[in-house]
Amino acid sequence: MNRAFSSLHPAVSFVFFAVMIVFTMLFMQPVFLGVTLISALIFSFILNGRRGVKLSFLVYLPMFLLIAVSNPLFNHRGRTTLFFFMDNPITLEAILYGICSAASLIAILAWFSCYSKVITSDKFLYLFAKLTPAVALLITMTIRMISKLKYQLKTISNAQHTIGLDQRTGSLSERVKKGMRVISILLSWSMEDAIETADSMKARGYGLKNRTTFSLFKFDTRDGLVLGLISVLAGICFAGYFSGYGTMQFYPSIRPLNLSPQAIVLYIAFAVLALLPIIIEVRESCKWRAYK
Amino acid sequence: MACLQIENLSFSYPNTQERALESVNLEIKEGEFVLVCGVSGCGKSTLLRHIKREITPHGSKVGTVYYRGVEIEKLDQRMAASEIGFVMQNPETQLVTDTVWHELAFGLENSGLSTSEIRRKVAEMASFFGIDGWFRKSVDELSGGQKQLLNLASVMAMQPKLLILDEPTAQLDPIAAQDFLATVAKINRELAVTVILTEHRLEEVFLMADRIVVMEKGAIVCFDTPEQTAKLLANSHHKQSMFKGLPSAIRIYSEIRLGNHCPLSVRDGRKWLAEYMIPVEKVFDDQVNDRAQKQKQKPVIAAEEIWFKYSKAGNDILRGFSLKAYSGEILCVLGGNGTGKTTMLGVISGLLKQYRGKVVINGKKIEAFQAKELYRNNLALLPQNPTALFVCDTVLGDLEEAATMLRLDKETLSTEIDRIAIELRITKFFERHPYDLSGGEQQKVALAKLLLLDPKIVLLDEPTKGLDAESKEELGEILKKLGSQDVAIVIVTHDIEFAAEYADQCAMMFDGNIVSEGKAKEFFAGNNFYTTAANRMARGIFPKAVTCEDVIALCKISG
Amino acid sequence: MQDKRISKYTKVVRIMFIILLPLLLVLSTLSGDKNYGLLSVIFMIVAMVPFFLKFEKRRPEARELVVIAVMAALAALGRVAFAPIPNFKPTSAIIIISAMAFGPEAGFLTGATAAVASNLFFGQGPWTPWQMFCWGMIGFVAGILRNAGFLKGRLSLSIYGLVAGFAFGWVMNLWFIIGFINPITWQAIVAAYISSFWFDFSNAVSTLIFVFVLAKPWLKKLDRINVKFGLME
Repeated sequence: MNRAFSSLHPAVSFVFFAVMIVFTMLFMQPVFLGVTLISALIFSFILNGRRGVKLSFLVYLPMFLLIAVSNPLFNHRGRTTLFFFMDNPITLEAILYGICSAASLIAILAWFSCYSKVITSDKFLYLFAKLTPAVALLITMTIRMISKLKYQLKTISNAQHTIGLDQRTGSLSERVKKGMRVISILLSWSMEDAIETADSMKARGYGLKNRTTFSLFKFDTRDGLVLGLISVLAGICFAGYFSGYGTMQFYPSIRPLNLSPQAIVLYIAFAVLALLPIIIEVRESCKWRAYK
Repeated sequence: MACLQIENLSFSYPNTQERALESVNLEIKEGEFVLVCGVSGCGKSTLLRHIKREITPHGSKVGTVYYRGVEIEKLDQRMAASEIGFVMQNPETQLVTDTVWHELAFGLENSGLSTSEIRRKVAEMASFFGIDGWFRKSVDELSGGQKQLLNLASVMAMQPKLLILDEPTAQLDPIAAQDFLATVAKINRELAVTVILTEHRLEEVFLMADRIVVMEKGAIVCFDTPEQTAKLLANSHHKQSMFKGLPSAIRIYSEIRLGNHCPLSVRDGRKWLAEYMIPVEKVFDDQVNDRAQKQKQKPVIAAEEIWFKYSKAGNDILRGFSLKAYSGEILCVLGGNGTGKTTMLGVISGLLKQYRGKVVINGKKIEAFQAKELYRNNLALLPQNPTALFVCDTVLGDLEEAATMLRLDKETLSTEIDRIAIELRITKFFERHPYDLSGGEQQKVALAKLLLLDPKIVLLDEPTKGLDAESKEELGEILKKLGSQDVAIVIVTHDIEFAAEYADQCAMMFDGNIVSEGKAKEFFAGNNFYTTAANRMARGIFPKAVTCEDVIALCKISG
Repeated sequence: MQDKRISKYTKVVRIMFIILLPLLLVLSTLSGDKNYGLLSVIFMIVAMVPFFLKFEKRRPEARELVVIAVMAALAALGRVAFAPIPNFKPTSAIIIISAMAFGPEAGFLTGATAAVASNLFFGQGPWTPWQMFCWGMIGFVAGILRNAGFLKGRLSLSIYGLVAGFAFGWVMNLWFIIGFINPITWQAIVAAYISSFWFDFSNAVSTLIFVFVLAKPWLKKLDRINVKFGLME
C-alpha cells in the first residue's frame, strides 16, 4: 500500500525514524515516553492494520509486563518500599523505572516495525548506497539471490522427493542427511550459476571506473518542507534534552513532573514531531474523502 | 568499414590439445543479421565470447579480432563495454539485481552516467520494448520469456552497435522464443544494430538472417546467404551433423532435389510441393506397439477427474483432468504455457495432492503407497533441470552415491551402473564433473540415475529444452528403447517436432484438461495449426504426412 | 601479501578504537543518564565502517560480489528455512565456510550481508547492526585464523564453530543487557546469561554440527569454483 508518509523521499522518512528512535532511547521521562509510545503504536496500527493490533497484544504487551515486573525484582534501589518479595524490598521507584524502560523498549520496537514498513528494501538500499555503493550492490544482489535460491531449493527438493529421498520423511538423522544433501546441491548449482552472473555483470561494464548509482527517488518541495519541520522540532527537543528536560530522577526518590512553561513547550514540540506521520496520513485521507 | 573482422583466430582452452577455434576468418558488415549454427561443441560460443572482450575465455589465442577497424584489446574500456552487447542463454543467471528498473539501469550505472541520463535512456528502452508496465516489479514476478526480454532490454539500454546473442531462446517456450526473436529482428531492422546470433531451433531464425555461418569442429565451413547455405548443406557431407536441425523445407528438398530453388519457409515449401507433386492421401501407420496393444486393458497410470489448485482461494489448475498411460507406450502431453502440464506431472508423481479425483498407479491408489515404495522399481520423474539431481564431483561418483543412498546392494550396483551407462553411452563421462557436461549429456546422466531405480514408469518434464538436434535424436532413441522394454513413458513438452517423431500417443492439454488425444500421426494430421512444420507444408498435398520422413517418402512415390 | 592485509585491518580498527572510545565516554557523560543501548548501536555501525570502506576502495570484482552474494544468500536462507527450530541454524557455519574458502574480508561481508538480508524477512531493528557485526566478526576471525595457519583440520574447525556459536549468543546477550537493563548489576547479567544458556548451547552445537558435516565437502566444491573463476591460476 502506498501511504502518504511512505511516499516521502527515503532520506526524509529515514531522518524522521532516526530522530524518533534516538529520542526514545535518550528520554527517560514519563511524558516523552508516553507520547512516543502512543504515537508509535497508532502509526503501527495505521500501517499494519489488524496485524498491528494483534502484534501489540501478543508480543508487545507480554514483553512490557515482563520488563516492568523484572526491574523491581532485580533492582532494589529507591526509598519507598512497598512490600517485600522473597526477602527483597520492592520499591515504588523501581516499579516506575521498570514501566518507563518497558515503555522505552516497546516504543523502540514499534518504531522499528513502522520503519520496516516504510523503509522498504529499495529505500534502505538507496540510503545505504549513499554511504557505500559497493556494499549496497552486494546486498541488492543477495536479495535477488535469495529469491532465486528459494526457487531452486524447491526444484531440488521436488527432484529428490521423486527419487524417494524426501527430506520430510524418515528418522531424524535421515532427515538431516537428506536436508544436507539438498543444500549441498543448492550450493553447487548456485555457484555454477554465479560464474554466469559474473560474466553478465562484466559484459555490462561492471568494473569500469566511476560507477554511479541510479535511483527512482526524487526530492521535491514537499520533502523539503517536511524535512525542515522535522529539523526544527528535533532541534527544539535536542536543546531541551541538553538542558536536562529529557530525563527525570528516579532514585533514590522520584522528583515531581516538570510543568514549567519551557517544559510544556518542549512536550508540545515533541508531540507534534512524534505525531507527524499520523498528521500527514490523516490529512491525506481527508483530502481523498473530499475528492469523492 | 566492416563492423567486425576476425583474422586467423585460433584458440584452445588450458590443459587441452584440441583447438576450440581453428583459424577463423570472418567479416561482418554494419547492420547485418548473422546466424551462427553448428552442433553442440562446435565452437560457436567460444567464437562469440572472443568478440566480447570482458568475457573472453582464458587459454592460448592466436589471431586478431577487429571491431570497426580497431583491435578489440585496444578498444577504450567504456566503449567496449557499451558498444558490444552480449546476451546469454539462461534468463535467470544473467539478472544481477532484484528489480526491473535497477536491472535496466545496471549497465548505465557501470558506465558512470548521471541519474538524469540514466532515467532518460531507461525510459526510452522500456517504451521500445513495451515493458513500461512492469517497470517497478521485482524480477522474480516475471516469466522466463519476460526475464530474457529484460536481459535484452538492459543490454540495449547501453545502446550497443553490435549485439551478440548466444542461444538466447534455448530456455524459452516456443511462443516466448518467437516473441524474443521478433524483438531481435525489430532491433536489427529499426535501430540498424548489427546482430550475431546462435541458435539450435533453426526453423524460424534461418529466414531472418542475412547471412549464415556454419561451424564444424571450431572452423567455419560456410558463410553465405540462407539460400546458398541451404543449398550447400543439402549437397555436401556436412549434412550429416547439422541436418536434423535445419528447417523442414530444406530437409525435404535436400532429399528430393527437384527445381533450382531450395525452399526455406513453410510457405515456399508448400508452393514447391504443389509445383512438383501430385496429392497423395496415404495414411501413415503409427508404429503400433504390439505389446502396448495387448496391455491396453490395464493402464499403469490412471488419473480420473483430477481437480487441483495450489491454495483454497486459488484458481483451479486442473479441472477434471483424466489420463491413462500404458506400459511400453510413449505418451506426449503437449500444450502451451500455463495449461497445467507441469502441475499434472506433479499430481501423477505424488508431489502434489489433488483435492478431488483419484490417481491409480499400477492398480493401486497413489495415496496408498509408502513414500519410498512409489519411487522404487516403480515411478521416476526426470525434472526439467537435471542439475537438481547432481550431488558429487564426478558422474560415476554421482551414480554410485545415488545407488548407495537408495540402498541397492554393492554388486548388482556396479553391474547395473555399467549396463545402464553403456546403454546410454555415458561411460566416457564417468570421470567428468556433471556441471562440465553439455545439456544433452547432463540429461542422459540424470536419466541414468533414475534408471538405477529400475522404474516401470518414467515421467519427463520438457526433456528437449535447450538440446540440439543431435541430442534430441539420441534422447528419442533412448526413450524408444525404454518403451520396448515395457516402460511406460509420459513426456510433457512444447516440442511438437519431437512428439511427432517419437511419441506413440499424443494428447493436447488446454485449460487444465486434455482436449484431444490420439495416435501420434493421426493426432497431428488432425490438427490445423498445432502441428509440425512438415505437416503444415504438405497440407493439401500429403495431408497425412507428419514428419519430414513421411513427406520425403510420399514425394518419392508421388514425384 | 595476506599478512599485510591483516595488519592494515588491525591498524584501521585500532584507530577506530582510539578515536571512538573517548568520544563514547564524552557522549555518555554529556547525556547525564547512561544510554549505553544507543551508543552501542552507533558503536557497532562505526566499527563496521572501515570494513565497508576498505571493500569500497578496492573496487571489488564481479566474481567476488557474486560469490559473497551466493554465500550470504545461503546463510540467510538457512536462517529462514530453519526458523521453526529456535537457535538451530546453519548460518554461522556457512559464514565460517565462506571465510575458509575466500578469506577474512569475504567472511566478514558474508556475515554482515547475511544479517541485513535475512532481517528483511525477520524485521530490522536496533539489533541489526549488532548481528551484522557479530556474524561479520565470526567470518573475519575465521579468515584470519585460516591465514595464520590454524583451522586446518576438521576438528579444529568444528571447535571454532562451537566457540563462535557460543560467542555469538553471548555477545548478543550483551546487547539485551546494555540496551534494556538499567542499572546493570551482576545479578541481572548472571540471570540473563543463565536464562539464555540453552539457546546459546543449541546455537553453538548446531554450528558445530553444520561445520563438521558441511565444511569438507563444501570447501571442495568452493575450490572448484575458485579454479573455474581463475583464482588459482
